[in-house]
Amino acid sequence: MKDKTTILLTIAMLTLLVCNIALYANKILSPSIHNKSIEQQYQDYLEQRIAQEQEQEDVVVSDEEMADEQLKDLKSMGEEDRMYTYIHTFLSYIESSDYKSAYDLLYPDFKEQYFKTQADFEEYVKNKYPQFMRLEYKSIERQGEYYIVSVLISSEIATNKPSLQQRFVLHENDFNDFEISFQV
Amino acid sequence: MTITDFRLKIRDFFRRNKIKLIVIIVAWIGIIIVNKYLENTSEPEIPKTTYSPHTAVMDDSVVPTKLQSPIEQLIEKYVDFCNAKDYENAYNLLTDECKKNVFSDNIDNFKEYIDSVFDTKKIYNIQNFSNKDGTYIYTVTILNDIMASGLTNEVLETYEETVVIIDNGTDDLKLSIKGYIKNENMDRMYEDEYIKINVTDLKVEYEYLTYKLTIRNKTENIVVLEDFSTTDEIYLDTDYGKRKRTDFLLEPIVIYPGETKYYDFNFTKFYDEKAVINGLVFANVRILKSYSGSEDTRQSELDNAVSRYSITLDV
Repeated sequence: MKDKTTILLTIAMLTLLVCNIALYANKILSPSIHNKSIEQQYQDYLEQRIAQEQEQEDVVVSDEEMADEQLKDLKSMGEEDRMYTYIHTFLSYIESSDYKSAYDLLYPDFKEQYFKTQADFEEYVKNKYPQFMRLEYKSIERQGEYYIVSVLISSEIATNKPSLQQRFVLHENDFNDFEISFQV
Repeated sequence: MTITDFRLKIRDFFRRNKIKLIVIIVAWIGIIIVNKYLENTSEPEIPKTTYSPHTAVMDDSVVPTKLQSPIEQLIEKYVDFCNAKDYENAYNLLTDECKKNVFSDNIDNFKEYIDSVFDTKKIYNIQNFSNKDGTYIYTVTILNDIMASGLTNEVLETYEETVVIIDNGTDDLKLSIKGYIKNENMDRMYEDEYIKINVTDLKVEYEYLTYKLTIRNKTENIVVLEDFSTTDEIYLDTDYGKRKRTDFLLEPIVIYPGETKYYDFNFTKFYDEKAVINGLVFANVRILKSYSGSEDTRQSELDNAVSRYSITLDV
């Protein structure tokens, strides 16, 4: 009987000992495992960020290249072609629904007089211009530093919007830096 | 020749030409440095346009570089004052001669003129038109603010103001407007037994010359200088031909006994024209006993004339 009790007590003690050892081992080893997991996550995240940044950098470089190319083109152009390019840029923004960029090109006093908000401008251009525009430059006149360009705007695709002849007034501050207004 | 000889020759060459070689190397390095400096200090490229505001339309002469910016600033100031209806400051940018001879020293006359030109906010551009003897003539085109309107509901209308800037050597540049350039004291006189003519003053504008005359009839007869009964009764004789009077109101010039009359004779002559003036000619001076101005009696009046002759005044 006594032996049986001793055996049971020994088993109990051994179980407790194993549990303690297991708990202790877990206590020591767990942060390391945990840290490794975090480290892996961080590494993954970092790699992802680097990849994203690289991707973004690639896009920026490509934009810069595009801007450089455009600037180079503008520098090789005469004033007449530069004005046509500026009008094309302005109307392209409208065509691609980038109304903010188009609105930002407007001469401040013109904005104040006709389009106090971007929403006013958006409403006007959506009603006035065809979705896909074909431009025909009819005439250009210079008044000192100001250029008056007459443009025939029609739709590239069949539409019920009639063609529109409109005068644009431009002032060029520098290459690709200009202000524009137009006959409302 | 052995290699040693060759080496000795080279060494000898370098020894003999040491100074020259150093000078060449220093000059070469200097050129490289100057080139690098010029590369780095090159002016930024600006958009090329056909607009050259300081190149004269008439002869492609260019306004001196040191005056270009002051002239631009002066005209800008003037237009800004006019737009702001700051009459006094705008008026003070005019030369004293312009104030006196164009606006009779009366700011109200200037105000009236400015109100008629600057009825709304205007923008402007300048173009050098002609240069002569330190006098720079610009056309200032004044127009509505087309950038602000986008030419909405309007046709492009411009007003051309002939602005004259005279460089008198001082830093204080002034301008005159309406094409006015200067006035000159003439002090020329013609006198005979019938008539006394004094030319006292000459007003020079870009397009016109205006002579101020005093004419006195010394007789008991009637002096007829111009009644348009014949051609070219009074003209300015130039080596490019005769210039007729271009007065706004052309009236006959008939002076009665003892009378003294005052006239402004206006002739077209551009300031930068090369034509030389030979004289002011009164080609058909008539001293008449009677004068009716009627065609019916003209011949009999001429038949009874006391004298008929012509006068050329050196002006």
